[in-house]
Amino acid sequence: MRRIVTLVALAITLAAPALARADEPAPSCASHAPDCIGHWATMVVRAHAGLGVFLNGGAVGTTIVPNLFEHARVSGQLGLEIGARPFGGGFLISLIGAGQAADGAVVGTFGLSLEYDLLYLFGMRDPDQDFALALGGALTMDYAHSVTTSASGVVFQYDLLRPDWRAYLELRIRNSAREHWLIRAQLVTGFDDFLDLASATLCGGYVYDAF
Amino acid sequence: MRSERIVFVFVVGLVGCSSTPAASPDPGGLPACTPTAMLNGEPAVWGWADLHTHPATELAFEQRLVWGSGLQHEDRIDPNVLPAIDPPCSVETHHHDSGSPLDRTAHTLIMSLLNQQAQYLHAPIGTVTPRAAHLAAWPNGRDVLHQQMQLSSLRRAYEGGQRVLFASTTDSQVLAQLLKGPLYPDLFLPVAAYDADSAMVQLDRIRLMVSQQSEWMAIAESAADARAIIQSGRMAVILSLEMDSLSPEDVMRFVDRGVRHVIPVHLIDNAEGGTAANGDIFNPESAYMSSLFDPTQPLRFFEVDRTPDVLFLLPRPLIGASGPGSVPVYANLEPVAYDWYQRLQYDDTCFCSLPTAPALHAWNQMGHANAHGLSDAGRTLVRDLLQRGVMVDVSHMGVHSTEDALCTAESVGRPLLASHGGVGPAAGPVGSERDLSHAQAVRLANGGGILGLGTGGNFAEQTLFTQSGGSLVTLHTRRRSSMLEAETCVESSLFSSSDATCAHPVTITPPIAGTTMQRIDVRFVPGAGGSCASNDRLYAQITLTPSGIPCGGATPTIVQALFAAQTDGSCLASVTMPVDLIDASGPPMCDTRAVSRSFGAADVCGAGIVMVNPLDCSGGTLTTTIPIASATVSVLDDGGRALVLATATGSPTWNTLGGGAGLYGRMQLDPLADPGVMIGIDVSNTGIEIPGAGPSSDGYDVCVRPRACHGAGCTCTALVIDSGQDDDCAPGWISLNHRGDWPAGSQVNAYVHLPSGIVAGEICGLDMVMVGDGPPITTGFGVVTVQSIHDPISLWANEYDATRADLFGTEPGRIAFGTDMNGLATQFATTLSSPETIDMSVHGCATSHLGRMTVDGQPLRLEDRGLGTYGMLTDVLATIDAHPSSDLDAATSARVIDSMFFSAEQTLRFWERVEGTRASPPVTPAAGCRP
Repeated sequence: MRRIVTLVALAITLAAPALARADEPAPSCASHAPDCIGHWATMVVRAHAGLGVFLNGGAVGTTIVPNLFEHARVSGQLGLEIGARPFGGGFLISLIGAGQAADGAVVGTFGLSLEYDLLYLFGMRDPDQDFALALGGALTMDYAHSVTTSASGVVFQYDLLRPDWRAYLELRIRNSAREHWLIRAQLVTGFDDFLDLASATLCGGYVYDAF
Repeated sequence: MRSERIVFVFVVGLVGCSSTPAASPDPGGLPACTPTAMLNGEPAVWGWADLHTHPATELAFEQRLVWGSGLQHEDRIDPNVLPAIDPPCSVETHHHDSGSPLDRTAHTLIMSLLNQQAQYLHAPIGTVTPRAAHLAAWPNGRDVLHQQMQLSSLRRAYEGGQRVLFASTTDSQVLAQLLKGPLYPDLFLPVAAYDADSAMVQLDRIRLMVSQQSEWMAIAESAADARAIIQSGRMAVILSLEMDSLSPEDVMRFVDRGVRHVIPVHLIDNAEGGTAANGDIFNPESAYMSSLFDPTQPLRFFEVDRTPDVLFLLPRPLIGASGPGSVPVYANLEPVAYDWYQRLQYDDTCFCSLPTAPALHAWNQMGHANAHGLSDAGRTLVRDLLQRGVMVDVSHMGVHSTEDALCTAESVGRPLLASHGGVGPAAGPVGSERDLSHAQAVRLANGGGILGLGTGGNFAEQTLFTQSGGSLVTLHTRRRSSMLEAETCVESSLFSSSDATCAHPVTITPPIAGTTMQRIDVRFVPGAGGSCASNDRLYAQITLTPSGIPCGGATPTIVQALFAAQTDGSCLASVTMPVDLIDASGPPMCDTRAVSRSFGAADVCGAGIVMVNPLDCSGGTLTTTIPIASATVSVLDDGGRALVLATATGSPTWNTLGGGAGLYGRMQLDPLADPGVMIGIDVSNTGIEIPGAGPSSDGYDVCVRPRACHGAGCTCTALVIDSGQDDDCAPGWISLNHRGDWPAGSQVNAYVHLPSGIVAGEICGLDMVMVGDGPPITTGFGVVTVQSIHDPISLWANEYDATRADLFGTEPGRIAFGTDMNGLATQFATTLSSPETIDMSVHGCATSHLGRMTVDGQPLRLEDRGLGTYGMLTDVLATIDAHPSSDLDAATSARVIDSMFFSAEQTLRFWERVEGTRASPPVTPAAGCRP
């Protein structure tokens, strides 16, 4: 427990405000002028679309590596997140909504996520940099709907509404020439085991930093 | 590598501990003994065999279901001392790494269902419950969720004469997934490698257990190995597979690694063949797994034949809940849509699409048998295994698969075994495909095969009084400190006395035997808003079995009669004798060939009300609900008297197809003449659930106390019975739940040894009270049954002896135990009495001198706990040897003991026949075998 507390304290300490660029004048923070809001919370809106591999993490036996891809299904991905960086640092708190569609099935996810940019641990503290590696967790409500035609010819529809929690590791690469566009690759864990890989996605996205 | 193990290795690296359990000192083997008795003129090894166990089952189901380990860390393996479960389990999880609330919720839901299947509630362990209370609930013969084969227990079985142990693997992917919580977007997807991985882990554990105790047991890979092991005074362990979805290639890889016994077909239809269609919970499991064997056949339920040779009828299958209004937060199962059910053709509920329902419809019951036999791959596997000297088991196969396996074995001249189950009667149908039909058992025996007889036990119970439907009894919590008198008393109307101390007496009318009848009437009064006039598919359903045969023990005849509205507002359905029955040799339904038969009042085994919504026949939605205010079942005898068999009041309602209210169950004998000295009490709550002990509560108990009317002019007074258990009921009362959680709808029972001089037929009532110190709760009970029961171990011995004589004549030993210990199978629940010490001498060799097994200083007695732990099999044999019950005579007892102590030798001879080192009886494939 003490180790966890130490790690959390270290992460918060390192989640310092973004460094000002050298060619920019230092903002005056004597007031609540908009320029200073970035030091409290930088708002971010991201949308993405792309493809993923739905690995069905959480299935029995899928923690055994050779079985991981046994039922893998390529899925279409859509996502939207609206978040803020407290103190303009390495943490990002977001409201998230996402959808996946695969052969005969759709999954919708809505919830709250908290992520930390691991590069902050190495002194790379510019949120606008071209490269980010984030470790995050999310508490969500998931809705899934699938359709299967049974051996008897009956079309069986299955619906599931379930609270969920998961961890993810995300790599974001931003195009310097088109600063709002990025590529993101994400590995998401299963709900009952953070080392149980549930899906891997690769998406193109659009990001808008509100401040 | 499982992720759990990654974490574990990491943690071990941090703290510097070893993950390997410390080996317990080997207590050493017993001196070898050569028996003086010969078997068929040849020397024999000594001891008995168990053909089916699961020593490492805690590693199955992703390690989420069965708590405890067979390995022990004590300094000494003591056959008289059972180590307490350490660490104690958490009642709702049974998962070491469970930290997720989702995980815990899923476990709570699924384990509760399993507890209800076993009719045994999991007592809270490791919370506020005192250790003594948890030990009162464990071990127990009806408990299926805790390890029952600790090394000390195995040691006790060994010292009691066991010399052959079949150690098998098992698992169920679907059950494991339900315990993990639902997958999404699909509830479940089968994984090809899962079963092989699980079997590998379990076999490794079995090998570890054996290697740690190598002085007294060893793994045998051939019959010669086994013989040498036993002749050196040790126990031969034979590795075995009982998995759902291993491919033939998987099986052969395990054979290469030492497996010598294979059950090719387990609980589901797999690539090898069709399983026994005998359990409603296995049907969805089979459906969820079907795409693994044929991707074009997802969600394929059992496909069945209707046959008069089997009694069991598959109900409407269950599947993951879906659709508007039933979106589950966690896994939930509900019946499939009606059009799906119709396509499965399990039942002709719509009465052959007749334009109008007949006024009287009757048929001899036809059961279900799996339509699939062994596949070509399955037959090839059986043949290949036999030719490699591997024992092949037909247990769990359906009738057609068993037939194909027998044909295949006969074609190669090698025998088969059926390791756990029973055998159907020589004449008449088998209860379900799970038991061998008599004809197939004879073929198996004639081919040189052997059998293992299951130890689940039965009671040959006879109902003293029973009633179901609605909320018959309502209980309010009483403080434990004030638990002095009954709140509710259920009384039999055979006894005229009433008890002034009973606040809410309920009278139940027992059945009346020996009455001829002209007519059976079932009448009910609809409750508010209900009517029978608008429902032209509302039937009375009456089950008839010839007098002298126990209900359920032979082919029942079911007659149905349509309800018609009466002028007084009630609804009446009548069946007049004689009834026209469909000839059983014809098609199952709607055949015009009919025979007439009369029945007497004593033939009425049950009566109830069944609703078939007319919309169902066109695939419509089930929406109708019929409330019932009161109902009566009566017969009109030859003298014109109306005899009331049962009455019920309350409000049983239903709104699903086939739902109904059971109103009546038959008592076969005159209760006053019944000699039984034990009774079974069976109740089911219909109201809110009764919580067990938890972190902030000591939970609630339901306590019962039978009443008896003894002697002339008797009054119905409470019996004071010492249950011998440390529970929260006041002295003289019997706890029904050991303070476990009792979900709504749970059915639980207790077995009571009556005081000397009291017979079951004198039981006139039952006191009930609910106690607890938490917030007051009120709940209702919809089933109350009191039955006289017989000693299950004595009955087992009689069945053993009769089956042996029937199949093997005078040859002993070819039936062994087939306990299925640790296989989610309940064991003997009680016995009349068992010896305090064990000192058996058979065939010139002796068992060790053993006292009672104890746990935490408390003696484990078969009478209190049943066959709760494996070592008590020794006590079972000692009980048979002592034949304490009038149900078991000395000669039968002696034959059973003699035969059991030849079962190790007969198992080796069977194996030698499979290997081809001993000649098998000459047989030719039966006519009708596929080429």
